[in-house]
Amino acid sequence: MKELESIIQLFKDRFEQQAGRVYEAETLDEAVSKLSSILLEQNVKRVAVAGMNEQVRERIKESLASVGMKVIEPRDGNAHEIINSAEAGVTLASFAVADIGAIAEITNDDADRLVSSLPGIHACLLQRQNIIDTFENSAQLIRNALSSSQSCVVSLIGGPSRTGDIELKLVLGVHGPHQVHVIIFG
Amino acid sequence: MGLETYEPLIKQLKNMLGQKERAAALYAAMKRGRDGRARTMQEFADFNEYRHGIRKIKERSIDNLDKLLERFMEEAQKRGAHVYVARDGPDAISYIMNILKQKQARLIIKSKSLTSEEIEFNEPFEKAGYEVYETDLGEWIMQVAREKPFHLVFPAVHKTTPEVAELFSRAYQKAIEGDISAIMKFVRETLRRIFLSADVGVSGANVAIAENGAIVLETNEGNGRLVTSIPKIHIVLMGMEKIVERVEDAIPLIRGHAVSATGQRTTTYVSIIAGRSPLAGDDGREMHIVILDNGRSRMREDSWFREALYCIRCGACMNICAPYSVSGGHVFGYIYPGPIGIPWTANVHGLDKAKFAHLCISCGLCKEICPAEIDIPMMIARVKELDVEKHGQLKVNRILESYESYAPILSSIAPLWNWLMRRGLVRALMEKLTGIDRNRPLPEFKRNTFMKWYRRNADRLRAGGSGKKVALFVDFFANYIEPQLAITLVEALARAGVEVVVPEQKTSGYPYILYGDLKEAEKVARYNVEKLYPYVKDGYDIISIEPTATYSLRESYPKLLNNSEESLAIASKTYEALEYLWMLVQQGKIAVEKTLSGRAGFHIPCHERGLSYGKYAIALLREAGLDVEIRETGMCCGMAGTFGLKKGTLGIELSLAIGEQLFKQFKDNNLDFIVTESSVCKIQLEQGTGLQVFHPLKLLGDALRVA
Repeated sequence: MKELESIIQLFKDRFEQQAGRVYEAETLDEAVSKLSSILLEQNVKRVAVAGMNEQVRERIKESLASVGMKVIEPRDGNAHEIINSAEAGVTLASFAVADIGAIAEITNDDADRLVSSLPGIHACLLQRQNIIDTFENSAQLIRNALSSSQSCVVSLIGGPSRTGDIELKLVLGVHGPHQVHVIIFG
Repeated sequence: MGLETYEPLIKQLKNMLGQKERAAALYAAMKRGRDGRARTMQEFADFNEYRHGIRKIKERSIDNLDKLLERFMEEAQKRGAHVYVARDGPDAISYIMNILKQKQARLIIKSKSLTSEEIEFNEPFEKAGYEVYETDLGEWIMQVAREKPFHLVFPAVHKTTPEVAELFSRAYQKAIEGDISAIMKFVRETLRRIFLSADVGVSGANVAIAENGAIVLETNEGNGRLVTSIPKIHIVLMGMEKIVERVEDAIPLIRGHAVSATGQRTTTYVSIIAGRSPLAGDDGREMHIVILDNGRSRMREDSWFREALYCIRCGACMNICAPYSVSGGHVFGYIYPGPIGIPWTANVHGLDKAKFAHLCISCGLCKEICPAEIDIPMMIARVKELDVEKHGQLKVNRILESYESYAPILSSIAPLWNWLMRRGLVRALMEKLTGIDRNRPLPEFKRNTFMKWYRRNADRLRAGGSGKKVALFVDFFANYIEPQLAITLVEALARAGVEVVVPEQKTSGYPYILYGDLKEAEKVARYNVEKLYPYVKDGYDIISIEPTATYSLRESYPKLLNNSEESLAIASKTYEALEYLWMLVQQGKIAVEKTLSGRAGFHIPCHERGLSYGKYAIALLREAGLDVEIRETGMCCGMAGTFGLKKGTLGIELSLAIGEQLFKQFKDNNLDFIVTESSVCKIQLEQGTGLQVFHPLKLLGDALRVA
């Protein structure tokens, strides 16, 4: 238990050092309400939600709708245009890796990847027990994910999109989100 | 014959040496990379071990390339990807062109891919009427400016903010203010529309994993994710050498790449992509993987260049390369810039494009920083050799590569020679005849060499007593120029009861490597190994004073002699003189008296960085009471053996331009003098800083006592 705490702390330290933001919540409910308040604070009106566990998705939709946000579920039509119209994207991380300070998303549909790619703000829920200590120790998990279906993308995300291409000055949010919020729960 | 082939290089270099602002921007980028790397390395238990692991993975992967290629293709095809092995650039381009024709595509978006630059992808597609967009910011700036990357990781580092704003304003006929946020707003908005309407996404692959047919894409801006997800067609253009067997092999490469490039733990985004995912249920989407050979198979069979295939394109080697720091990627590069760019250019673009090999000063630091421990310096020496064979050698290089062999004659006429060398007129004449710059003070020869002294004292030095025995590898400087250093050393050893012998030997021959004469270098290596080996076999340790000589024995000779058993035995028994003395201090056989005072700046010679970073010298000097601080840029001082002695741009001008940053470090501080173990760095530092420079042994002198 103590070990898990230090792994979580390491993830938090490194992810924040990379300009991401981390919050902790006891329960899923608490996490979802934290999510709503983060997005409210950022004045978000339209939110894209990625495909995820049905139960979690319904809770998120409910909570965001109750504070007046429009929830977009890009499951048909012109998915990329629709996601692009959202100010924030919400995902559920499959796992996170502490020593590289990154969350990992396992996706089988690229619409889910776009939810964390196109909007300016990315908020992500992460279950406490799914934080792995080292990148090396996530190898088997990555292999399993890749071999479980015909097509699969494992995306490691270590904070907001960034560049230093002009005069080495750090700028966040080039083509991806300029803010990444991770809410740890459970 | 062929010497005119140096002229464009020299002209370009001269032009670049005049552009101080560009050099300052480049220096800042390189320093950012090095400092970041140094910081993040601390998070590893032992990053050198980690590097070694990466090397083993690459060795294994290149050894098994045929099998891995087959496996990768099979697995990727199982996932529905189309895989094609392209023999060269035109082959890859016509294959991709065909796909795009069939699909009636128009708009191509690219994420950064060096492999696509290698085959100059954009031009033929633009000519054929396609719209092609680079979406990595630095690459896009270069595309709009119609330039090649200045730096591998920061392609547009030489452009200022107002310059970038003006470039885009002109190209898009839109007023963009000269501040970063205005530029970024323009970039995000403009490219976003392009992303959303593109038909084809072209990416590279940082790694490919055979066991599951996946490719790994590392980006920071997030463009790579969009390029590989929105368009109907995803084309991966990857070098054949990128394939590893398992996920476990990919992970250290992903980490090593980011840590070495910028000091990031990984890039912000790492996408491991297997097969083509549908988009919101639409599964009529395609993935094409084009695996490029373009000379790689040939490199794999070439014992000199095989190691180049271990390169993971992190760019760390250019962050530590002193001549690159003042010349930049347009001069020190063709398409692939920097040190590793030399063997790659020679092999994929042709020897004629790799003339910039002659900017390399053989400091060896690219090997020390490389995450795959690639012996880049030796490959560069080989490129120089091939070029010299084809186009001829500069006279000055021919003289300097073998100058050590004139030493016996010059030393026999030392008083006359030294007198001559002090005459301006003689130096002017010599400059004209040989190309050695008249403004470089040359070290004076001693008539009484160390070897003469040794022959008189040999019997006494053989006495020993402690059971320890060493064979001294004297090298050039300690024999002909400052014999007192070697005498101090062997007297201290003798006092501690160490038996000292000096076997028959030649000077190290390292200048042959610098000037690309590997055949001569090998001859010298063979000679010295033959003479030293019997001693090693007989239980002697080998010690040497000059870092370059120690480095030659430890690193260069085994490489030159194909890792022969004898050369490896010698390498494993070779110590730096000061390392050996420190060991004796630790064992209580030598005591160090507090005879020194004052504040010294310590300069680490390049080859010393491949040994022990001067730590033994510093420990001994501190023990003797000296206040010692390392002052460094992390790079070469610019002297680089005899390189800085040469007249002209490809010599003293380049050498002093490189030295500038380091000189500042010594001059800005209140130091009494400088200490360094290298005889040639001494010349450069004295000239550049005006301070006196001493060898640690000269300072230690009588401080070394019997315990």
